[in-house]
Amino acid sequence: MSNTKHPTDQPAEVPGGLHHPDGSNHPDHPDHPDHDDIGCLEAIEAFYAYLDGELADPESIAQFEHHMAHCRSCFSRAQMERLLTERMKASARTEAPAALKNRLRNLMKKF
Amino acid sequence: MDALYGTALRLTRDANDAEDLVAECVAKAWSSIGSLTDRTRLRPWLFQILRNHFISDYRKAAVRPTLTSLDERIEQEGDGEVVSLLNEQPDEFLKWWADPETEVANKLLGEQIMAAIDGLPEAFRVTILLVNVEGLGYDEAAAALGVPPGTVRSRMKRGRTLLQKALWEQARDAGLALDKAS
Repeated sequence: MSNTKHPTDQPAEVPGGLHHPDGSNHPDHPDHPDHDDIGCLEAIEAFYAYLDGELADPESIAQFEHHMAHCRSCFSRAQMERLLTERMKASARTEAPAALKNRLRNLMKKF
Repeated sequence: MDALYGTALRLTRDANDAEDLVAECVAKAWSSIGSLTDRTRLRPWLFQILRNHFISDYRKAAVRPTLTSLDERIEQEGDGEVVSLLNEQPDEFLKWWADPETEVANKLLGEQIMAAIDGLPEAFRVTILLVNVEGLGYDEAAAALGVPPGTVRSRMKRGRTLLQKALWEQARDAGLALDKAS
């Protein structure tokens, strides 16, 4: 995969802006490692940094995306992580209670 | 304020303690705002104050003193453990999870996901919340936690892997994954 765009440049339709070469969200073929493939172990090493937009080196990004385009297992894992992050964001949002807001307003008045 | 309260709640696991912690954090921040030279770092700075207060005033009083040593032991385990944890989850489970037809992620209750997060050791729990929920970058989370960025990176890797494992076990115990994956 030649797309070296940083993942944060692309809204997350699929993990980290990943696209399978056929344009679908799901690789339709199983693992086909080639000479350019970094392999699952190296992909796992960079996995979360990539998904969090923290992988800065263009070559590393390209290698990771190449692996994702060819490895169904890692691609599925990335899909799961993206969905899980979305659900986490939605679930973890907590509104501060009114009592706390009042308490902080009163606290500010003292300064 | 909501972000601070949400993080405090996950740290203390108690609504009253969380309110106290946020109030102390805001008071401290307000009184020492002059020490913040780069205003773009306000968020990580606030989270840093929050966590420092939690460590100094709340964690010491925790009734589970072994938690800290457990956190440290887990954190010190190598990346080989991450690979082994990832290998525990069968591909079928991952495909099933990500399958738009089953919409597992949407069916999972927020409470179930948060319970899995709350079950993580503190170091991983807080790092994941700061990065994935509050949107802090690794360097910002590192500043908030007082650790090197590389530690945030390794905590994210290990913490998210532990979270996957917890969800896999949750699905397996409920018979969900087995029904679809077998």
